Amino acid sequence: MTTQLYSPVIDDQQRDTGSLAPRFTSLGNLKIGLLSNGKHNADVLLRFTADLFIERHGGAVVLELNKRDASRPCPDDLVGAVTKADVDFMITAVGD
Amino acid sequence: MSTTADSRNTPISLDDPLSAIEYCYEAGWTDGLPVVPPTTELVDKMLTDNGYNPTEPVGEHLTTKRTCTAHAAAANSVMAGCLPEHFPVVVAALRAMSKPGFNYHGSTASTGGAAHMVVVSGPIVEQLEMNASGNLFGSGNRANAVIGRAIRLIHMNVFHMQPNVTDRSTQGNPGKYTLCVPERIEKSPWPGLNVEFGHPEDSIVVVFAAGGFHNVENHFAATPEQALLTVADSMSCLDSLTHGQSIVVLSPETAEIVAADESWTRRRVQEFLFENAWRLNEDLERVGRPWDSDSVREQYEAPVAGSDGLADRYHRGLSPDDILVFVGGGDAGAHSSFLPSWSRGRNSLMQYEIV
Repeated sequence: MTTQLYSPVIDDQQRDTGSLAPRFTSLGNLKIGLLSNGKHNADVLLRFTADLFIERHGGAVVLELNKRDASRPCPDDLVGAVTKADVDFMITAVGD
Repeated sequence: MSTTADSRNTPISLDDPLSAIEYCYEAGWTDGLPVVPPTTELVDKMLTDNGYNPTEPVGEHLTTKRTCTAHAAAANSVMAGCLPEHFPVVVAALRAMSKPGFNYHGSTASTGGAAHMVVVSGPIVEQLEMNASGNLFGSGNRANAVIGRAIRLIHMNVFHMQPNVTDRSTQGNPGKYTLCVPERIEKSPWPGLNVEFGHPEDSIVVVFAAGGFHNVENHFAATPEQALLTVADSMSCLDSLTHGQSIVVLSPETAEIVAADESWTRRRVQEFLFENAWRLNEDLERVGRPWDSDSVREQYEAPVAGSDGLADRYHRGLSPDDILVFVGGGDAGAHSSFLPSWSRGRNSLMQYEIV
């Protein structure tokens, strides 16, 4: 006797996750923002990553934010600060 | 496996039920144990018996913007072994966990390894023949086992919190298979939790992102103070000491000792536990735990001191309200339990919902 199953999975294709930011045509001399998730050493990892990027492509860190609390979503005021900031891209990191 | 948004995909045909069980493994739908294949008949019956529209949202994983429909919840509940009468408890627990204060994503993703505990109180405990007695946290009762398991399967299959992919728990937690316990009201000296929460005619679920289970044993305690100081000592262990919330399940034997004097109300027990569950700041310093850092102050927006105003100590929780106390377990044995909040302190707060 044939057994008919429903999938218990809801796939991600229907999920509204917004759209991707436009891609860069060049990585030279961009303005970088850093957003730490607040865990220990996240700031160290971010700075290291930014320094590596700058060494290779130039540019500068112009914004540094810390959401303080690793396991909660980024507060609205910080998201607002990111969207209003004059940066070309953000780097975020999980530390520990 | 690609499906539609409400998971009412084109059914998958298998030769027989045994091959369907293996299919569920191959598809990555299980928690490691065999599941009941989510057949179209069983899933449809779960929904129709409970009057749910398949596309009705019953849970939300806010941060990842994933929604659980009644149909997906039903399919996972069938896989967990639920009967239709168990489904309203699963849905109530999902709704409670979807409240913003629960921080659903953090508690399902963190290295801390929270187990998503469901406490059931009210008439449905008897209706579902749940086990509130011996082996409360152990195996042997269908309702206890399958309700908690359904929640876990939903986390994995609907919210995509897959072990070692998006669920990054360092060591996991046995309660991640299932963790659902009822209150043993007939042995409780205090009103049921449903009454305490203002719903004497209804059943409720309280949900909690729990850390590891602590067994609290003192067969020599003869007074309320002795019994409860033992609990408070467990609550102040440095391995889990945060300002987070707590669940304390008193064994019937311990509850009898505590409430032999009627002045020991549930409220007095909560106050006593809060007043006595603390460690000196220097104890925390000795193991490198921050007790007065900027992050602690910012998170709690309150001075880091107890109700006694003494700033040299660090209390478990911020007030007696942070300790949920109820009775459960078998008649014999002074074995109570304490479950701390998940390791991130107050990043997930208990929520409740009417069943």
